[in-house]
Amino acid sequence: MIDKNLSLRNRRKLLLGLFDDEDKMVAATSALVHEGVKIQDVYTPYPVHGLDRIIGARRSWLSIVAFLCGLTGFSLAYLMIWYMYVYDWPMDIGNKPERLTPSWVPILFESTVLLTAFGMAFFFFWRSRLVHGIKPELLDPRQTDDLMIICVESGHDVNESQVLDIMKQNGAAELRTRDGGVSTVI
Amino acid sequence: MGHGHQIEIVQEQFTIPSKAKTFAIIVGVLGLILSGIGMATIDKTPVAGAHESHAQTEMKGHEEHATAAGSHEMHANSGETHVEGNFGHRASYEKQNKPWTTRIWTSLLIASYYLFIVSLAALFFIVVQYIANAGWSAAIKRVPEAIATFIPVAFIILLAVIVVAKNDIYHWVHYEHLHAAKGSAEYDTILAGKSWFLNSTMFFAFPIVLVTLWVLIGRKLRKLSIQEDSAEKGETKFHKKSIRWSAGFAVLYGFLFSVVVWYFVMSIDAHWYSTIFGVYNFAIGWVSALTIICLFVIFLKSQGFLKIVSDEHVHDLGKFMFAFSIFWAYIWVSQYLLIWYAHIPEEMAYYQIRYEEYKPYFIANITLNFFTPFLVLMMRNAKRNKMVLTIAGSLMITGKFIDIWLMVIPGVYGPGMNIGFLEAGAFLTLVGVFIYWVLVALTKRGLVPVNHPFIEESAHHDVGV
Amino acid sequence: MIYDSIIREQLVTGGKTAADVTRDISRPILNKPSMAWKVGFTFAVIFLGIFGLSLFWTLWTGIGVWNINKSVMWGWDITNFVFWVGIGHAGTLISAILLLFRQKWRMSINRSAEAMTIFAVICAAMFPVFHMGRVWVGYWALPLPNAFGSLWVNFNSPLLWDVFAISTYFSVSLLFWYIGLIPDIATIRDKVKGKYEKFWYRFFSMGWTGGTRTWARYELISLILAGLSTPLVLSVHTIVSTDFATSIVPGWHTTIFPPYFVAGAIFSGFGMVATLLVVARKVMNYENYITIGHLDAMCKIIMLTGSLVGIAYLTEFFIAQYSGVEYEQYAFKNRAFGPYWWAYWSMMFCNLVSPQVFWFKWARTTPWFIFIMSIVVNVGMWFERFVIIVTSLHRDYLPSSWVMYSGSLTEVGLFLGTFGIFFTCFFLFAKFLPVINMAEIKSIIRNRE
Repeated sequence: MIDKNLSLRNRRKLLLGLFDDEDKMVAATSALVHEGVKIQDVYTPYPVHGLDRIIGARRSWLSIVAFLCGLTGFSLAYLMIWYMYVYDWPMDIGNKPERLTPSWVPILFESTVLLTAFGMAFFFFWRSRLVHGIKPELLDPRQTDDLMIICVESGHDVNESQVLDIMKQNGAAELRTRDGGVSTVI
Repeated sequence: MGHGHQIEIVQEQFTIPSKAKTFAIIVGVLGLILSGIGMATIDKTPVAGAHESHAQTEMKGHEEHATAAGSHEMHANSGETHVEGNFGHRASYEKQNKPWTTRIWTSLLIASYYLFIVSLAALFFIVVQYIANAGWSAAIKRVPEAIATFIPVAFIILLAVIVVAKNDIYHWVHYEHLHAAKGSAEYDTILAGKSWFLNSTMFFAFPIVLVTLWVLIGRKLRKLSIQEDSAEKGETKFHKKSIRWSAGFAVLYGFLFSVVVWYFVMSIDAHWYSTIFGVYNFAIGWVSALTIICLFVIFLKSQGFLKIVSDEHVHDLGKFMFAFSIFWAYIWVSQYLLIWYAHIPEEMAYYQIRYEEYKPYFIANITLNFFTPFLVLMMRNAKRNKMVLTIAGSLMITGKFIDIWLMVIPGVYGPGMNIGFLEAGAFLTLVGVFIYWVLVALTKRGLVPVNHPFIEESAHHDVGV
Repeated sequence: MIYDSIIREQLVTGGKTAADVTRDISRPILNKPSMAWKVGFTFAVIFLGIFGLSLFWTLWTGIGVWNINKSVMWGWDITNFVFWVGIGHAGTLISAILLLFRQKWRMSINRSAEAMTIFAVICAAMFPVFHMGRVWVGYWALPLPNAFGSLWVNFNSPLLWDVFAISTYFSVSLLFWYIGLIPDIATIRDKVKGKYEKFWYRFFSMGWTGGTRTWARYELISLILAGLSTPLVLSVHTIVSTDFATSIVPGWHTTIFPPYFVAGAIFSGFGMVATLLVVARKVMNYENYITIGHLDAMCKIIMLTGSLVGIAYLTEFFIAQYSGVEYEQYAFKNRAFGPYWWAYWSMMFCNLVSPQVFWFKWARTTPWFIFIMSIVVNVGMWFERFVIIVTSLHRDYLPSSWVMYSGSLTEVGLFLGTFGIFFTCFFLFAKFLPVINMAEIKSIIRNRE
């Protein structure tokens, strides 16, 4: 379930391009993608619009999960009211009928929303590998402040010098490689 | 953020494609044919009025009418204490026999009222965009502008219908003409107590004055928008003026739209009242206006016009259709739930007849207006698919027609009516006229507000996630 | 691709860079608390003490210490409940509805408004919970098997709907707030020095590093949560309104109550947001983030919702007269011209008339004036609930049950005390969490270069 793309553990050598300007970073990313380089990830301190489409990430399943959770919430709430109010101990209050009536709507609605929201949130945490208290895999402490990092995993089909060149040409503030958890500034 | 390429804003001149012209004419002619069939086949014996079912006086020898008997039965079944207990003495007016032509007038009333609130809501759409400083909608602005030009036409038809048939449609107009004295058998305490509001003078004076003001502001806004087109690039004077006029319209519309609705629709059930009724009618008009704007945009797009409009704009209109269908359902539930829950006879009478006697329409109303858009338009891809939007939109418009039909007809005729050739015919005829009118209005001006301060923002529009 | 027209005003002024944003907004968290904070916090805690005392007195002697009686069985207590729930609506509204409508100015104010939501709902919950009297059996309100028989809760009761609605609203708002906070907590995590601070910020940041896929999911979940929260906000205040509207009490049973309560909630919520932010931007030096443009937009919304509420007042008054039902007619005449006329006209003045001053640009752009107006709005909205509840109840169908009502010292103490809860929470929030959403602000500062 966890998105395998996220973890940096057990990776080969990483090529990092550090940017302090969004436009330059986006240009570099596009250029790399254009050259057919697979980008491991781009770390940004704030959401950069459309970047996920550039690096070729698929659209998330969250909306479908949300729908399913909502359906579950609705069914469970319906079952609860039906069991308590119709099946187990019907109550005649104000001569309201013991079947689906408008007065079921509020609770059905609230339960649907509750389950949708929490189901979706847990799916989000799980899939994005967000767990309370785990050690963050930071490449640089400034990546949550004002630094953007393009991260490419080295491999047979990756021409390291070409990747670093493209980053450099597009205005990277700094280039690094990272191997076995140790960063080296180039 | 600079990584957007420049999009050139070019003026476009709309010419009505012959297919569209034919389509509008076919719809209109089909409507006329259906109306003709309706008039030919309708039972021409006078129809019994519904209002007598509210009354406590004896039926005065009119039991032979099946409908009246039916309505009487309904009350016998459902609300024994119903009307009489709470209102004390409430004698009926002289029982009226409605001529068969009333069906034509009610059909026209429904159709013209619908198009009236829709075109008004289209004007409100423009106004909201100005007030909210909305940028995305600048590119499609000419569509609601064209729709809004239909306000006077729809209103004049509506008024004409009311002038001709007010006596048969509006129970209280009939009562007013009786001049029943206090204590007489015809005297109706409730209606007499409402004569300060429900009287023929106010009935015409108020809406005419108000709608004239609305139309004038609408024309002013359109004029400013046109002036902006030929102004210098970057001139924002007209935009700022438009914002002012929009704020004025919003106030007039917000505070007084309800009053028009009370006169035209709520007073059909003259004994009944509901504070949310104006909001409910606004919701109908608003969702329909969004739907119709969306359909026109899709049409223009399919003909190769509106080059700067992309799927993103259509997606946003789809979102609006989806969201405000839920809003409609919210208002619907608010009214129904509260009346159903409290079960006060004078309020319940309204839903009693609509639920018991018109159940298929009652269910169709919620299905077409809420469940259909809710389920069909939920997914992102549906909102970006023009075919799905067209089908869902057509269903929603049908649903709104049923909704208004359900507000009007039981109040006029009591139980036992169905949507027939006449209703469908009148609706289609006016829709045909409406489509043709809007198409012509679109040709009158350039399709793109080229100097709108937000036009470039609109051209670059992206819904995001 | 975000493209902004040149006529739009800059949302963040002062030419800030991303690093500036981090520095400015995390300053109160990284530094020692300021004098202003200490003084404010002390006052808040004093009020919290008042709440404690009043609550103790209520529990010790019972609900009898309140002045509620057989006719006015809901008094200050439910007034305060609706008042606080109403305030609790602007937060999620700003986050959710304004997110859906892509109103970017919300980014400077949504964090604090959401926090306000959560604290206000806590304050609100105090009132119905302690109104139960025997609060230790409060769990009976939940759909649990009953220990003393076979009964379940009554699903037809709007009070039970309230239990579901408020708890759902609280949980979902908290979730929404927290998800929005994660990236910012991560930013703070990478800035703080102390051992304990590091531990807690790391704990709550959930290992956030800001990868693109995570951001994409984060944006999507924010959007869907906004889409869910919008009807949720509407439903919660709708359900609060059904507490009144499903009854057959004249003045309560009117179909416009649901949307009218929602509009009122937004109105009062924005009033409270304006109160807090006009002060906060000054004290915390956030004038470049919460600009005059932001205040201007908030004032417009206050004016809009005030007018909507005003339409509802006029509509219900009109329809009551139109209805022909003498009880309805009397209930409304009694509101306006009966013994509580002063409450009715205060409400009318504060909510319908006074916000119209925001038609003038001067009024929308002068912080001290907005501050005063926001207080007026809050007072007016309290009066609105008081008018609805007390004037409808104090004259029953039976003239022998006609009474007058005014809150006792304990009731006043409880109300003032909830301000203690509210502000204590708010001051702690302002000390330990970023008051403005840093990540989102960073995404808009570069729009126009």
